[in-house]
Amino acid sequence: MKKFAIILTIIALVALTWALSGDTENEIERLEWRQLKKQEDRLYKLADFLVRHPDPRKASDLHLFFSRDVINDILAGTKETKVALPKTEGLVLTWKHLEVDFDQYAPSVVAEAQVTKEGSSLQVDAAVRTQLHIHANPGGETAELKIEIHEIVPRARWSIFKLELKWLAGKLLALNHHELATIDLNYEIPLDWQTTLSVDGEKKPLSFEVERGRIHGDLTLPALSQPARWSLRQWFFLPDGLHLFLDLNLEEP
Amino acid sequence: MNILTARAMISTGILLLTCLPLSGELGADVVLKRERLAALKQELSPKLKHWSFGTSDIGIWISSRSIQKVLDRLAAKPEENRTAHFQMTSCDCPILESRDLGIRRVDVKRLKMSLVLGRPESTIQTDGWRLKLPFQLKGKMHLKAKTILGKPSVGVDFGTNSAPTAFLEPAEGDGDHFAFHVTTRGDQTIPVTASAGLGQLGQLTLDLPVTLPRGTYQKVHIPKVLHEQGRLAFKIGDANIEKKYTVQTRFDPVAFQPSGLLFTADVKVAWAD
Repeated sequence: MKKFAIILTIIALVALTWALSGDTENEIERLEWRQLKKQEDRLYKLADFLVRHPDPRKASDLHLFFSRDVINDILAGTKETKVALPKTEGLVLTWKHLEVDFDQYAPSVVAEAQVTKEGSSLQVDAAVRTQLHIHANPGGETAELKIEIHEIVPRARWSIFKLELKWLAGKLLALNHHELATIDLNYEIPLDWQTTLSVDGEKKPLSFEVERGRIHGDLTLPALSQPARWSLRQWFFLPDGLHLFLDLNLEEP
Repeated sequence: MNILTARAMISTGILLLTCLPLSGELGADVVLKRERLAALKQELSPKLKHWSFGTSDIGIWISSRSIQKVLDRLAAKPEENRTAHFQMTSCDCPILESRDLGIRRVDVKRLKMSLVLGRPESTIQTDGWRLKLPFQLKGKMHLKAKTILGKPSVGVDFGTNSAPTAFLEPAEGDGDHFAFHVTTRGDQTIPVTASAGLGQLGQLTLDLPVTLPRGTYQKVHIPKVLHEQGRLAFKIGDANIEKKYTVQTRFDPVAFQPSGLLFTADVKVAWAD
């Protein structure tokens, strides 16, 4: 009977370990489900917009496009930079890969990182769920570009024999986005882009034929100046890249 | 069964019952959601195709309407802002020569005229950009005539309206530049009629059609490749990081479309170590 109790205790311990890891896996699946739900909402919004405006070019003056490759080539510049994670007693996150996941139909950034504990060999690979955040004040002329880290999802498989990894993963999952870092790209996107279309006045020689002769003289052209203001009307993150639609306003200041 | 065995059995059972269904249900939901999303994306894909810039890295499309908007704004400017002036410096004259009439010869001594631009009309065709430039021409010339009765000098006012057409069309460039020519096609003549009284000889009426030179007025060269160096500064947590980059932008030939002008380019970004 004692033997049976020992076997049951071992089963209980294994079940406990599995339950704890199952809890973490459930948390990862919940995060995944939440991400998919957000994506679904965005797709429905886009579908609804396309019903009302099948061709946004018809209502716009300028269509700008930046492919996913160009944007991700720029983000690749952040590779191998390190972030000290707040309130985690020496956990450091090193970016391995950062790219906008255009298939999400949103400025959703997919990031791979490695989290290490300073002064130890403990490290875990992690998927970092981030959001490219474009912040514009109402009536403002520019928007600020930031990448906010929302969730860090450890990729390690752990077991009863790797409890320290479990501890590390638990620490990462316990962080919420208020405590996490922000990548401030120090880049301002012009929402209103002002320019002046201008032609300098000039004097140039001109000659022309009349029926029985040729007249030579000087032609004086007037200087022309027209302020132009491009305003961002709409932007879309689509699978091929970022599409911006702008309006042209030619009112005098 | 002693108490130890019973406790072990109960705790094992509770753990198994609690954990098993959670994982399974959530997993199935995720799979379902993924399938629904895939179907939705497939449905949207053809609707987004006409926005596509193909395999280009960057694209700029300027609508025909916005070009016309600029031209309309230009036409609304005060007249002095859209008036060109011409003043004659010399003339290969005479503009009229005759042996049979009382008027033997007429020379232009002075000529001043102004050309007021009206509302230009822009049309983009697949082979180029057509610009119709309506204008009003008004001027005054001083004529010196040689007649059988003397050499009267008269001032003549004249004016006309016309609307010649200019084309911006792609031409053969070199390896580094695209070329565009501003041209006129076919014969374009501005009819000018001036008349002046010459006393006893009666009224002198001069038809002075101005023929616009055919062919290329201006050549425009635009570089195919642009190089730009810059710095990306960003802040992660408390750390300020700065990286240098070089961007090379290689433009494709501009596409003239009735709806607008389409520019596309390939871009290479290189990061400095």
